[in-house]
Amino acid sequence: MDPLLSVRSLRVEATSSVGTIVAVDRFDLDIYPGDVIGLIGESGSGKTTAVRSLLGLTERNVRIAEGSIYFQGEQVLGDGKNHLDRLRGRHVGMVFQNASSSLNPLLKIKTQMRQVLRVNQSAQRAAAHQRRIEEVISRMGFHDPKRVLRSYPHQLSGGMRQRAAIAIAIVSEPEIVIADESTSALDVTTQAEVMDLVRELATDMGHSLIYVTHDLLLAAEVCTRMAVMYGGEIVEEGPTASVIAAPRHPYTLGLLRSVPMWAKKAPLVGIEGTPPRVTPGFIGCRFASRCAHAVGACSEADVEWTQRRDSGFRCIQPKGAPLHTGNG
Amino acid sequence: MSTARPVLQIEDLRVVFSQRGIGKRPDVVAVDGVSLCIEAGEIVGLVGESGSGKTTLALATALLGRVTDGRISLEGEDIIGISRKRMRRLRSRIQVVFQDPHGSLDPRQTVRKGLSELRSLHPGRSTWITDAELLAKVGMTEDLLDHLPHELSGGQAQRVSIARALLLRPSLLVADEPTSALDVSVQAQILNLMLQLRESEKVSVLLISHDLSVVRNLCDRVYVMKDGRVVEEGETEELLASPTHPYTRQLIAAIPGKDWDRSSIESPNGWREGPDSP
Repeated sequence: MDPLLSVRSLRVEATSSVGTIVAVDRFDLDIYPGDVIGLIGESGSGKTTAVRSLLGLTERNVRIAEGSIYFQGEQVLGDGKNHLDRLRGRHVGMVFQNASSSLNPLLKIKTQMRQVLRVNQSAQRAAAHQRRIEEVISRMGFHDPKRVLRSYPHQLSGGMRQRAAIAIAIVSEPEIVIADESTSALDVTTQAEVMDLVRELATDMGHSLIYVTHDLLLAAEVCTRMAVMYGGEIVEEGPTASVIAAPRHPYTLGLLRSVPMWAKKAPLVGIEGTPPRVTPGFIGCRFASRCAHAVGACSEADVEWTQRRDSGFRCIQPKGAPLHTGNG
Repeated sequence: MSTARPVLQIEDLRVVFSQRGIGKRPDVVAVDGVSLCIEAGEIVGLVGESGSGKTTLALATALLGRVTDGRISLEGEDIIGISRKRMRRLRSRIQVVFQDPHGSLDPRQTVRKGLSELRSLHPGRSTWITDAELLAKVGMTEDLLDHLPHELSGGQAQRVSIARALLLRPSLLVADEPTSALDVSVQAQILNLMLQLRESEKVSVLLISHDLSVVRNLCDRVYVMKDGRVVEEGETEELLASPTHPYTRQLIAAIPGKDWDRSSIESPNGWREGPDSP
């Protein structure tokens, strides 16, 4: 089976008055039909910049410095091409963190859904659009879907707005939906309802999903695979169960030890220090300065990706491996 | 000490906000007859969703918000309806740590300047410790004293907020979602700091949180609020193991990742600790 979307060696740089930083680097990702991939990272890890780059939605000071993207085998970015706008909306839908600011406050939900269809499927008739809109909204778990269509965003609660945003993202039947922290602003019980809907997107409605979040356990609820980002790079990627139950990268382990878990009360262990500022000349493992297992070699050269069957990591002395003596 | 009075006792507290003047809206009862008690050295959790009244209750407790009716006493002293002068003196014994540290620190004041301002306002209570020793208590070094808030990371800024609270040797720390704005790796450090301060500073904590996993890992007892009322309270483990109120059950059902535990990541067959690199 071929991947729906392939990203290769993506490198994104952001320039500001204080210089250039590398926001995303050596970013490879394959999304297959039916995949639900969690892109996990703390603030500044590059997760949002990475997915926004896939959509060509980066800020003005951010540029894609390197990399290629293929959609269904066809190159849409790289080798002088940039057709990301053809993907956006039609093939890749996006749900943002805060639906109250990502929805247009002046338009009814129905109008906003119709706009997406008009832009992406101009050949179809208005009647077909209407049917599609009603079909999608009826699946979002609203008590009164017709009323939601007639409503302006401010007339809906936070959870309803987020579900309306999901409806807008999938109305043109994109193969892939990207949800960026789409439940972080909601109360826990509302969050659980929206997560159920997100899960259905993948299982019943057949979309592939990239779920971007800082919340490892929330991602574990819905994701089949997980990619953990640190300092702009993916440091570990694999099936959810193996990433959580048998993490190989010290950062993944650090994150897991930081999360208060429900099942077992245990002392929390945070990660000391702060992430580095990754400038274009940065060499070595991004996590080395905070890593308890770092040796000299970690900072001397960039760390290559190690792939083991269906999971991989970017570390020269991963958990479970014989310890590098590193007497350099 | 075992016969000591509770640090905080709230009886039948009501907080009502009038909306007269904004059309014909009815009054909002934000806190509706809440009673709550914190014993010395306890960390007590207060959970509930947005709009449940938990922050209004916290502000009333810290003498920063309005109280319509009811009693609040701090170490046996009534703090409702007292003179401004006494209130100012009592207020130093309850300190608040807010959610967003960058929002609660003065952006134009260095850490040092902020502390010296506090010292001048409370000359009697603040001489027990130097700035450097105070920062050490929250795991920071004195070279950060000359930093402005924007030069601090979120975790560092929150440590500064906690240090400022500790300067006045409060009996009670009210922490309103103190880690919600922080990354998880930093959240863990701040939560650990609270546990440690309870031991070293003998401070009691009212921890307001929407995260039941945080509460379970930190709190001795917990109160669950909904629509301005306490719907359930008890020892944390007991209450969370067998919740009786449907709302508490709903909250627990909504917790993500309940099935994961730490056994896999704490197992000894992880890294073999080797010699440190030179």
